[in-house]
Amino acid sequence: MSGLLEIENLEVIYRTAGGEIPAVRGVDLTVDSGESVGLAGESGCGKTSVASTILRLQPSNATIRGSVRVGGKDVQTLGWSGLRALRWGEAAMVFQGALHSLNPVQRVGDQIAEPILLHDPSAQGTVKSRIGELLEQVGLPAARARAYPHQLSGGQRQRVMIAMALACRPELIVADEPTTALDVMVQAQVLDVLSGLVGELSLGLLMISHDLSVLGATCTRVAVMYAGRIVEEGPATDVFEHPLHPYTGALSAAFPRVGDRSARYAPSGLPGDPPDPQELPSGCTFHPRCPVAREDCADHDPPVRLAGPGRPVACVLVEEGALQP
Amino acid sequence: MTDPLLRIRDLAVEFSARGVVARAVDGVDLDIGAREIVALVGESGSGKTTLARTLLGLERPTAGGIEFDGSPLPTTVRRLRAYRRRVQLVLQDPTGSLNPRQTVYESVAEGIRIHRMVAKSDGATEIDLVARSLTRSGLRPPENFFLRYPHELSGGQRQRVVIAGAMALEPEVLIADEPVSSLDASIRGEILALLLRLRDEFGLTVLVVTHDLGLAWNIADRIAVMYLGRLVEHGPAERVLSDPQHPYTQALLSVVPEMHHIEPIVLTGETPDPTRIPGGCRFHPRCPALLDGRAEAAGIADVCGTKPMPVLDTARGAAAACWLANPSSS
Repeated sequence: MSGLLEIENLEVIYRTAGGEIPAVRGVDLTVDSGESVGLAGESGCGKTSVASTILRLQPSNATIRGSVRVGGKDVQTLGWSGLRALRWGEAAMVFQGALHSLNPVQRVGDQIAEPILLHDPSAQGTVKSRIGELLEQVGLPAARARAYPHQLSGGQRQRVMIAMALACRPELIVADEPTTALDVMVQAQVLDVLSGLVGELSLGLLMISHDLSVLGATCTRVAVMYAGRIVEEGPATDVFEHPLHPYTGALSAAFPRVGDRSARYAPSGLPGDPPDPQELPSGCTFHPRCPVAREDCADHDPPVRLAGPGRPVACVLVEEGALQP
Repeated sequence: MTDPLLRIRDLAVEFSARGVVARAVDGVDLDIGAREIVALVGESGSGKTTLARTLLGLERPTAGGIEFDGSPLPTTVRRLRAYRRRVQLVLQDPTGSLNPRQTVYESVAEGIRIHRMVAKSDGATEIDLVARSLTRSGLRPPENFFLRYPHELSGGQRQRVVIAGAMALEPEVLIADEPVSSLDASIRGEILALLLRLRDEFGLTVLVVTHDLGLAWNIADRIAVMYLGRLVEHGPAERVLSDPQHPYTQALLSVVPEMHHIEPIVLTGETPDPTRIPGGCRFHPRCPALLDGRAEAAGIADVCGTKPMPVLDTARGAAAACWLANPSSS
């Protein structure tokens, strides 16, 4: 079976004056239609590098190995016309800072119209009603099309960004930290819009965030990245509530459940910082920060093993089939 | 409670432009005791940041007042300077708080020089003071950080440098405005643990301004929930978070993503603009208790739309500014 998005053994290497930086080191990930998948990890873990390759938006100093296919087509070898049809038409992206992604001196309706008219110049007559329809789809009144970005609140701007991403009826949406700058209530509203769309339009959604709790609440499946690799993957609630990899455990504990007495006056974090991709630790890249590291963790990079069906984990402490009864 | 270190009484802060008045803080009473960690919780537009800025003397109250250690907030430049040594501020984005062309040493030493901390100390040199506050903030060994620039540090290390700069002045109060919201998940707990440790070791009083209820659960003794310029609920953290009384607090708690065992109450719309504060209870146009008929059943639906809530009395242990939570007073 072929998925909507298929990433296979992806590597992203940046060439810089200071040498080569391996940002992504072999990532496999698939997203099917009607499925929302979360990609979690800290800054510098390579999650945004993965996202950028999906629309071939990576900077020119990046070398890509492995393959990224959207609807069966290899994005990295696509010709220009194919790439133009892919961007907006088959896959669209929602970026983090809506204020910086919108043009401040253009009405938001005109900005939504731009990709529609670029893809179909004959749509001139119907574009206005389409914009109204899109705005209503994300929970904004159609009349807001006449507003400038500064007249909208942060949550409304993020809704406009989502409406714009939907403009050319893509099958795949890539959302990079779509709610990071928003308040909890507005975040809940935007996440509701996103998950509603996945259901209604049977979209595939790849959502990237450092906040595992947001992904746990919105996505069906979550993959956790550390130092350029996926270290754990599985159904979202399992990964969040019963993490197997010690790194996922730390991420999950960082957002306490309000009411959990063990978290009172005991915030939980990880000592140290994410590793520099140019000086990756030997063996398991997580071992210097790992609370349960063994001596041999510094020598062997643990292979990914299936702890259960659909539950790959890369940690020596998690045996193959560990989840089987 | 013994005499509070900070006493806020009936505070109002208004901004006006072209004849329009925005009441950013509109009647707040709050006491903060020494060695307490209080979380001021609210969304953007609730007035929580204006309240914090007023506590630092960066905004002038329009009405009401603030007392620190028994006397009103100073207004003269010289006295304000002395006051600001005792009450320090840590902001959300450490990258924006640090001068990118200053080394860690210079950043921390700047406050030490302005406030002549070397003369006030018993024989310690400037280097000793910088090293001491870096160590206290968890940057060890401090010498390794002296000559580093902000871009060479991780986000968590930068926030520690900002905290070290504040702690170098031996303040009594730290006001932290969203101290971890721009940091990675794994770093967040470490910075919160640092705030707890500073309270335990140096008797620091902390006011954390945040929209993050998980953070409040992690470190706060008391919580004050703010909506559109007023406190709507207040009390010990465990009480407010395990049994919230105000429909707004209930809704906020229900949308925390970790809380998937309770049905989320997603409020429609956003906090109204403080130039147009609704009449009656200021939360009534968005109140889920009015929408689902709970207010009607309690026979207070009319009162909600017409009778303004009095300023929340925070002298009592726990309180909520809602007619539903205080049926007798309506």
